[in-house]
Amino acid sequence: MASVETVKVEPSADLENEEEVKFVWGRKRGIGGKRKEVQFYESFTYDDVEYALYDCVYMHKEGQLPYIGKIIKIWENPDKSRKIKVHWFFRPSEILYHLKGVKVAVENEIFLASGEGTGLANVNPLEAIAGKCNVVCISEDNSNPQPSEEEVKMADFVFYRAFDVGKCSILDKMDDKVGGLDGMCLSSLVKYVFNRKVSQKASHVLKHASDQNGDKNAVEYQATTKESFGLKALNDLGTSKASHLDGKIDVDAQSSLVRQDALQRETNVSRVNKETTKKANSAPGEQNSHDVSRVAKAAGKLSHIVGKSDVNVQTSPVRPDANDSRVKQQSTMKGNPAPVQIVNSTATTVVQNTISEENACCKINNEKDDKKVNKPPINLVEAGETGKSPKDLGVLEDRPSKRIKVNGSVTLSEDKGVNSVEKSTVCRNEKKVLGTSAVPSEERKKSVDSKLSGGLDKNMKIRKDSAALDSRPSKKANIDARKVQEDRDKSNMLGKRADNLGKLPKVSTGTSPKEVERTEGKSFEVTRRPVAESSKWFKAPPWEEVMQTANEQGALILLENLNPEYTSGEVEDIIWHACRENCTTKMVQRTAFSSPYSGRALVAFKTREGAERVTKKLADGCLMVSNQRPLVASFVSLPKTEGNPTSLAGHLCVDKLRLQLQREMREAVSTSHCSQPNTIEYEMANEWRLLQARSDSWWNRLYKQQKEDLTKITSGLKRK
Amino acid sequence: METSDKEYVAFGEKVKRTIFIDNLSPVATEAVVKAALDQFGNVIQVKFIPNYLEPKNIGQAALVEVENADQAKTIISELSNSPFMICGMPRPVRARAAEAEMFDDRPRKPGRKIVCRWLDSSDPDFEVANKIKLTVRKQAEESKFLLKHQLEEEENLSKKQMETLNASYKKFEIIESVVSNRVATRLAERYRVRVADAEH
Repeated sequence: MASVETVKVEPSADLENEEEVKFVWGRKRGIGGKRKEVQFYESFTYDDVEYALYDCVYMHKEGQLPYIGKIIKIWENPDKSRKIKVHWFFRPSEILYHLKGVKVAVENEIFLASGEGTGLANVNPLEAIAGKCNVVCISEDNSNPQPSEEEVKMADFVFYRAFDVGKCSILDKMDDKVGGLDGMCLSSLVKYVFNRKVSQKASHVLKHASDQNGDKNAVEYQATTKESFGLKALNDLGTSKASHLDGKIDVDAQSSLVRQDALQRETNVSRVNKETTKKANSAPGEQNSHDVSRVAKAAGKLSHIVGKSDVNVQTSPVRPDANDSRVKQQSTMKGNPAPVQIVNSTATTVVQNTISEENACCKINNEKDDKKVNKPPINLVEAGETGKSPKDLGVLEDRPSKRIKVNGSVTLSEDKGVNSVEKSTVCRNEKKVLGTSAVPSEERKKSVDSKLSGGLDKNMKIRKDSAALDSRPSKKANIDARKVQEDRDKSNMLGKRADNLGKLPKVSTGTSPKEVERTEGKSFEVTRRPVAESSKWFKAPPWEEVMQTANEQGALILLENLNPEYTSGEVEDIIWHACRENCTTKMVQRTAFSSPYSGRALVAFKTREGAERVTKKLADGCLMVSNQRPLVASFVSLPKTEGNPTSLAGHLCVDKLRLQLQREMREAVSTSHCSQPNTIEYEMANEWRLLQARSDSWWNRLYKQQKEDLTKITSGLKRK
Repeated sequence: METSDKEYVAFGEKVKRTIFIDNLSPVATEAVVKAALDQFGNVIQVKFIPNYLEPKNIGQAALVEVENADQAKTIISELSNSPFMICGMPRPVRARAAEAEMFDDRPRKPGRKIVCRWLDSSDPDFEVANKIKLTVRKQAEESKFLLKHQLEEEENLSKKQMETLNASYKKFEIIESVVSNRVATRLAERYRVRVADAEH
């Protein structure tokens, strides 16, 4: 065995002293190489964690979630450089594109690389290892020792399928073709793909002077496929639903820690015990040194990282330092010890980067913020967005409560890969909104010439009700009051009476009119309206005209809380049956941010009086449609178009080149293209997609919340 | 007009092969959108969704009907994977599957019966119904607010990017001028530094 040389390890792991990471070779395996100069090994101990052949490990990837791989070869070159050959696993997020239509079995499923081509396996410096990983094979193949339920639960990852890197497809069965190495045959499969029956590590703890110089490069992972997948993962950050690793709680972490240690067989048993207890104890402590809530989420992964950490009892901030030194080793491109600057981002150490699951990449080098995991993908930083404040990971817990909270501090909680609105800014905006609009509404109040005297009373009543209903701070009441003001103001339009333009119902049917008696409190069925005789002679003018005319007259109403599935004609029928008024209606088409359950319709009447009548009726009484939805009617005036905007926010062009652009426009060249990945434009585009994704999530949450609110109230209805 | 089941089913098919695109520039026309998406498949028709009530600067939205549902799916996934820009950069357009409610010419659902009822104040449900009405109003306000906020965010991002872009362009100009008037090469000779010929 190798000679035993003890090296005194400095207890205070200075940040600069990266040489202090302990390394010890394990059992030798054989000699190889052209001139018999390469020594193969079966195991080694790195940073007090023992690794053996066919163990699964995390491999550092700068700025991203670490890769997962299986060690299939370990050796030392004559120049003392230590290498391992790693057979890769793919996370779902790395091959999202090829997972279309494929269902991921469990959230922590990964795929074994198979087939031929780049991305199958790579040689890497041993120092690129970021930690041990517990991967359990749940393949139902006969030769696979089936793991117990416990083991599966405790595993970091499971796999039973393979991903063929050549064909870019998923293989459901583990056949002999997995991996093109070493003449794969079933026995090899058994040997290193399937679960091993006994952990055959017999490590010898040897203090061995380790030269920590040499190339401490980052993972030299050649496969461009992985790069592009990484980028794709970036794109799909906001949208991908392949969320894996919701955090296991601390309890699990500790128990898995203990279990892991139990598996490791050390000659020095007492040392194991000390380590175990220390880790178990220190785990919560160390975790507390970072953002608490985030930790709770990712404790499962944390356990492994902790497992490899420096166990020197004397060192005070144990883990961060050790890992910082790791950061410097692996993530710098140069061979020199990296400047301390990198380490400034102690909070965002490598470890934490591996923790934060949803980020496909976290910045190790570039980020200046401490204590906050950075959501935006790395290309944002490269675009020089240094001024950008870190986006909180937290999720908007309660949509309406955004109005209440004044502090911007957001505690990180369960997230689904989504940025939240920074609450402080939201509240600031909201305050601004209130502030600025308070003034005009005051003015408008004075000039109210409400024609609906009855409506005015109603509004007062509503306002009182809202004050009573709302237990929330007065901000909400203000908003209601404002809204009510606006309604009144809209009804304030001084419209002239217009002659009948002979607007006809759009739907002209030949069905015989069905007269339905309408009595208070009795329900009636809405069927086709009776058609005026003259309908056969006139052609209905287009909706735009109708709408504009009604708008000018003040005869345009907005109906809300309709079933979005209704068509325009059905709404017209409703109005007719309920109020005996003819009208022309257009259901507002749904867009990206329309409410999914409250449909809206613009209703145009021939006369303003007709509109008023209907509005009054609907406001005073309650017209329940399908016994669930009281219609809400309000006057509306279309927002004036102060000239259509000529460009959309986000369409940029360099001023100097503007002339060129104009020429293009004039020549009506349709400029459309897909963006290429290595341009500034691409990065900016990704920023936009991120914003789009965020907006989507805001809307989703808002509507979800609103729906809940509504269902709660609706359940109070007695007659269903 | 009564819609038969067949018509309704046919409409459903149409919905499946239609894509909803938004974040379109106001200057984009139907022809432009059609030309842009023709790369991916056969575009049958493009219809813009009119925006009556919302603020004007949210970008246009359009319904694009393509030949079949598969093409629609392909386009949507392509546009999700890599940013696609129409009529302006770098803000990409966003595509998703269309829904029936997006169409303004949708047929009625056959067999749907609408029942209405007037409530007066003596009705036990009157209070609750009023509450619902209030809530609906309130929620409409919330939506408006969120939309406003979204637009502000977009403006901010746009401004930031504009700055970055200008800065980059300035840098680029400097480099270009230095290279073109051979100052760079002369400096390189002076300092004995190799200047790579950056031919892009």
